[in-house]
Order: sequence, then C-alpha cells, then structure tokens
Amino acid sequence: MLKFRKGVAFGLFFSLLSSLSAQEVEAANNALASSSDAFFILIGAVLILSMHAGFAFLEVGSVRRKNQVNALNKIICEWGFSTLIYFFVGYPLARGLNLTGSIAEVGGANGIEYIKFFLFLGFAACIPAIISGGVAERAKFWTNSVAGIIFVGLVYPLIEGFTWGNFSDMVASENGWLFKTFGATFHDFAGSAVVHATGGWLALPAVILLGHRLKRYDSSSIKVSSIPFLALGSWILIVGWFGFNVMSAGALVDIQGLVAINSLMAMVGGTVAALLLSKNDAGFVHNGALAGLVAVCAGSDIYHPIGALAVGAIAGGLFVFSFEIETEKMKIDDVLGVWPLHGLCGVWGGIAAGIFGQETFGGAGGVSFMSQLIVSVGIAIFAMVAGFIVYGTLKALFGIRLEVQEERVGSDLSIHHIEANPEDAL
Amino acid sequence: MKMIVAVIQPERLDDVKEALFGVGIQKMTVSRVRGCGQQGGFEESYRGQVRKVNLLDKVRIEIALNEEFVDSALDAIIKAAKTGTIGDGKIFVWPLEQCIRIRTEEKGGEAIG
Repeated sequence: MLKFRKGVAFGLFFSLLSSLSAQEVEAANNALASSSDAFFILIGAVLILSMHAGFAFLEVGSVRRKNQVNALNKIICEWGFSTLIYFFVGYPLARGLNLTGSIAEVGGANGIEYIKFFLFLGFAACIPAIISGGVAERAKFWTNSVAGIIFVGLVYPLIEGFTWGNFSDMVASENGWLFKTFGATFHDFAGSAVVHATGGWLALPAVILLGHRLKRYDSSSIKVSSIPFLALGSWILIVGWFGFNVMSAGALVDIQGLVAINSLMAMVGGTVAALLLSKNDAGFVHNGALAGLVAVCAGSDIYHPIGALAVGAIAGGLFVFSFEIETEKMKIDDVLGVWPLHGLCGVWGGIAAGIFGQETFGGAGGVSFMSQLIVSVGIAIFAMVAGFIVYGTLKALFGIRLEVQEERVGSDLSIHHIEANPEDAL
Repeated sequence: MKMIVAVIQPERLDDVKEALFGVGIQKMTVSRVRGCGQQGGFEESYRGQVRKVNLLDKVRIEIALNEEFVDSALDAIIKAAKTGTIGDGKIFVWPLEQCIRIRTEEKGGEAIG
C-alpha cells in the first residue's frame, strides 16, 4: 500500500516537473538547495548545542559533590551570556553581519543567516565552557562570567575574524602574506586552533591566577565525585563533536564522509593511546577520546583516516603526559585539565594539519607546515596574553576567587544555596 | 581499656588517620554522620522555597585502646583535626568493659592490640 502511494506521489511529482519550464525547475532546485543547507547547518548547530550538555556533565563528574550544582549553573548561564554578547557584538565583529536588522533584510533563504549565527555561536560559547572546567570549585561566579563575556564578545571574535571571518585576508586569502610566503593559507577546518587552543590558552592564566584549590596538594589529593557523570559528559561531547566537525562544511553539497571517519579514527586513537599510557584509568581514557577529537578538527577534511588515527593517538598521549606534568610537577591545579586537553592538543591539531595533511602522509595536500605552525602558535600566545590581561585586571579590581569559608563549604551552598542532592540534607 | 569517639570535620579525616597511624594506632571504625552543635546550620533554597538545614556532615571515629595509648591518640586527633574554628568537633572518652577478637576469642587488652 505504502509502495503504491509512493509510486503515485513520485509519478505526480515527475509529471509536474516535466510540465514545468526550465526556469521553474531551477527555482525549485534552488529552493531545495537553500532549505537543505539551512537544515544541514541547523542539525550541526543543535549537535554543538548538545556538546554544552557534555561540558556540563564532564565537569559535574570531575568536581567534588559540593560543587556540582555550580558546574551545571555555570555552563547554562555562560551559554546565555555568550549568546547575548555574540549576537550584539562578537558576531558582527567577526563576520560583519548585524543580526539586529529587519527580518526582511536578514531572514532570506530559509533564514540561513540566523542558523549560521546559531552554529558559530556554538563554537564561540565553547570558550567559557572550556575555561569553566579549569577554574572549577573556586572561581567567583560573576567575575568569571564577566571574563567569559569579554572573551566571547571581543577576544574570540578577533581570532575568528582573523582566521575564518571578516579580516582573514592575511592568513586565509591567496593574496595574503601566508600564501605568498609559504605557498598555502592557514587551514583549520573545524577549529582545533581557532576554538580549542583559544579556550585552553585563555584558561591557563585563569587557573594560574586563581591558585590551587584548598588542600589540593596536601597529603591526599582531592577526589572526583562521579565517574559515571564524567563518562556521560565525555560521551555527549563525542556524539556532538560529529556535528562540530562534519557540519563545519557549511553547505550540504560540501558534506564529506572523510571528515566523519577521520573524527571517528582520531577519537579512537586518543582513547586507545590514553588507555595504554594510563593503565586503563577512567579519567584519562574518557578524556583521551576528547583529546583525539580536539586535535583532528583542523585537518579532518584532508587527512587519510590512518593519518587521523595517528593525530588522535598522539593527542591522547600528549594529554596524559602533559596533564601529569601540569598538575603534579608544575602544581597548576587545572581541575579538568583544559589546558592540556584544549590548549596543547588544539595547537597540536593546528600543526598536525601541516604534517599529516601533506600528500606524503596520504593527506589531500594544499597545506603548509609553516603556515600551520605560525598561526597556531600565534593564536596560543595571543589567547594567553589576553587571558592574563582580563583575569589579571579582574583579580586586581574585584577578586576572582571565593572566600576561604565559601570554598570550604562548597560553591553549591555558598553561591546557589542548594546541594546537588537536597534529599541528603537533614 | 578505653573507648574514644571523635566527631570531626569530614575534610580533616585524612590528616587524623595519618596522625593516628603515626603514633602506632592502626585500628579504628569510621562512619559518616550528621549532627548539630555550636556551628549551627544553613538555609537552602530551591525555586524560592527556603528550608533550614540543621544537621551538618561530620565524620565519627571510634577507637578502642589500651590505657597507655589513650593520651597519644587524643593528642594526635586534636593536632590533626584542630583548625581553630567553630565546628572542629568533640572527642568523648569512656571506659570500655570488654573487647573480644572474634577469630581467636581473645579477650581484654590482648584483643585490642
């Protein structure tokens, strides 16, 4: 019955088409193309939105029970602040498009400009979500929110505009300096350097200026509250990441299965490398997958799948080693390890595109090692300096850390006046 | 024989354990408890509804000891648990009538050590 109906529908459709003029067919095709693109990007935007649930639960599981509510509230509130500042300031700055114009002006072609904003907002809002994991359990809510607003309104849009957007001539144009000097523009398909390195290197000064949590380096280290929540957060991020990477194509006709399989291979490479190096440690294994995904973003459209596996595996190993060095040797209390995960693996991803993207390694080519190195490291330095300036100023003016007693009681009770499991209270 | 019961701040437990191990006391029973004292409680609110919480998280340590260990145990607990703020907790000491090790049926001071 169903088949029969389908047959009738198709028959009608084609008989209609055949009676249409060429112009009408073209109009129908255009409508299909523009609505498909809108739908394609919307799915990407929603998948990236879901990653913020991942950020939230990764943090919930990785902090102590007395700071779980704070992790949740921080992530959703920062999404809100990011949307507001990016809508009015950041997006017009980075992309030169003001969404406050009339609906008639901006809303054409199935409203694709609105959906693109949603997609790019998802990337921008990753910045405070990344930082959140580093400053967890001790940062003041409001000063940290203000820092996030400055980053999403100004710092990230400058990096975004410089590499992907409004003023990217120098690094992304064939008339630009990079192309003329090294034979290829800067290539960051989905944001290893632009998004992740920016977030990670902004977070490092924040974590240093805050100082370590009380008792962090006493005889026995601080525990995490919940491996299941931590793993859930990691899984949500992993799933959403396929929107982050694949939908970075920006148009349905440009969709690449290669991006999907490369993301998969890098995730697996990161997981297995972390597994082997950490002797099956739950925290490292679940973050190893994320390390692989952070690193693969930049070159996910040009790697051979086996190259992507290598990029991810190196990132997984890099994360395990550098997290230990950062938190144990250097005594920088980066709670979730956001600097090694996003900062270092992000820069590695940017550089890796210039290595494993080359034809020698089975890649599609068209990239330059020097272009990748210069811009990736440049982004890291710019972000770190910006982080020091913003957090340093806020620290000097208002203070960025909770009072000792507030931290001891926990940010859940001292900021939000509730515990994660209120039934436990008697 | 004496029984020591100490109620302390949960975050001091690791230090107290270390201090007790340090003076040769290896046997204890620890439980999570809730209680109220001078520290008072706090208010919780959810969707605008405010509720008073009086009982705070504490950790209770029970140790059975032969007389000669009592003073060093008390010193160790005080040194490790004291922060000087309200809520540090209390130690109770009382005489212990009997102690039996189930495995060997030893009794008294032998069974404790």
